[in-house]
Amino acid sequence: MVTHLFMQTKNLKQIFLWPIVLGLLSIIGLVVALLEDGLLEDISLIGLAVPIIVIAYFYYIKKYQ
Amino acid sequence: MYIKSIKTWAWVHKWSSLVCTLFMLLLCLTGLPLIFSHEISHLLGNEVEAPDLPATTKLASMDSILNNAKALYPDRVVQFVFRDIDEDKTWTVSLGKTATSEDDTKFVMLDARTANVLDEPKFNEGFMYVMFKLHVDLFAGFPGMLFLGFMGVLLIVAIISGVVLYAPFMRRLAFGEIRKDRAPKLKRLDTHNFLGVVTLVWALIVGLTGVINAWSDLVVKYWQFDQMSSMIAPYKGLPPPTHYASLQASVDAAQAREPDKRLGFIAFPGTTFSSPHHYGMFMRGDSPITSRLFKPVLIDAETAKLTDSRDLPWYLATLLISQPLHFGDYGGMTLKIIWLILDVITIVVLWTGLMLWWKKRKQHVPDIETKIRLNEAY
Repeated sequence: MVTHLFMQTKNLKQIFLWPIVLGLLSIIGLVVALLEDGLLEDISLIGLAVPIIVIAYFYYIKKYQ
Repeated sequence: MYIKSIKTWAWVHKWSSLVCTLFMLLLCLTGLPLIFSHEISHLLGNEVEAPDLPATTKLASMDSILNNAKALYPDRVVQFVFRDIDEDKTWTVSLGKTATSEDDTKFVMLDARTANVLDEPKFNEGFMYVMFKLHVDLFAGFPGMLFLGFMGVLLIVAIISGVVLYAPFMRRLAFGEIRKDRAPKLKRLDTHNFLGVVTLVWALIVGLTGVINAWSDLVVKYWQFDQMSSMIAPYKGLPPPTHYASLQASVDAAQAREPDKRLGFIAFPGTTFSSPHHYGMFMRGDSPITSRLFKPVLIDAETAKLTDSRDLPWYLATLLISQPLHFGDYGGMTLKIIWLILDVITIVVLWTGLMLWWKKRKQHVPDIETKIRLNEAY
């Protein structure tokens, strides 16, 4: 079933919302882990792992009808 | 107008990627083992550890450490004394044919408390050395470094143009949608776009810091010209020292100047990080960031007295901070595993990109407007 031909065209904000959120998480993760040790470092590493989790979710788990 | 600019971006993306893609695949593949170089040499049994001694054991004098290393290679010149960032029981001394010679350097690892020789690590042979050289300069020295740096610049261009092209292809697709049940090229395109955009920031940072690292030799040369030359100006034209002061006394003088820092490494007279008349003592702090921002303290090698000490200029600080961001070695094993996964994802992005181009080379290519309307591959 082809959905995208009927899907309304997205605007730039809709297209880049997710990539920007993930990009910000990555930047924060990379920089905070460099500046801090301990708990804050662990939290920032989770931020850095989010893009990987997102990939796994969309690629292997989420189904498109 | 819009279609024309998309066409331009597509051209930029295609050619910047095509030129650098094989080198980037090589860098990603050789980078994989390099992330874990410490663990791998440990597993291979190449890493000798210092014996456990009571914590109260006194440190050996740096002079005896130096003498015991030199005794093994009496006709060689000491270049550096160094150790890993998290190591405090050993020192490694490097001895070259001359102060600046880079081939056939010998390394001697000694116990920091007893000055006993523990090992002679072979940093310049074996699997990891080949990976390292392929990654850094393709065995081509300085020109190889600059070449790979230029490939890194192309990668950055490819990433930025890729982000621009992401928009027209995603107008009718949900974020993360992979059209797996349709033509393989659509699945390939969606995978390329999705993985690429999600790992975008990491790839940009690693690419950018890699480019900065490729310039490191030039940055250090500029530092010598810019700062070192004025620090050692009073010594200009003097003959090289005929005798050398105690190394321990020189270390103490540097420690007295920077009491809150600890010694990171020593550059011996005549090497690129010192002058013919000085020990370059490089002091580091304790936090993840200050431990990488070395503070140079120049000690007169004849008198063991302080000559000068200056904060690092911005360009050297940039280089030193870009290193952990490239290596991913500042967040323990968790960060290394994240680096590994993101590296593998980047390989998939490079490969799917290459395949998108390869498979459609000989096909009839409809005009760009049709392709965008159909969400098709380039």
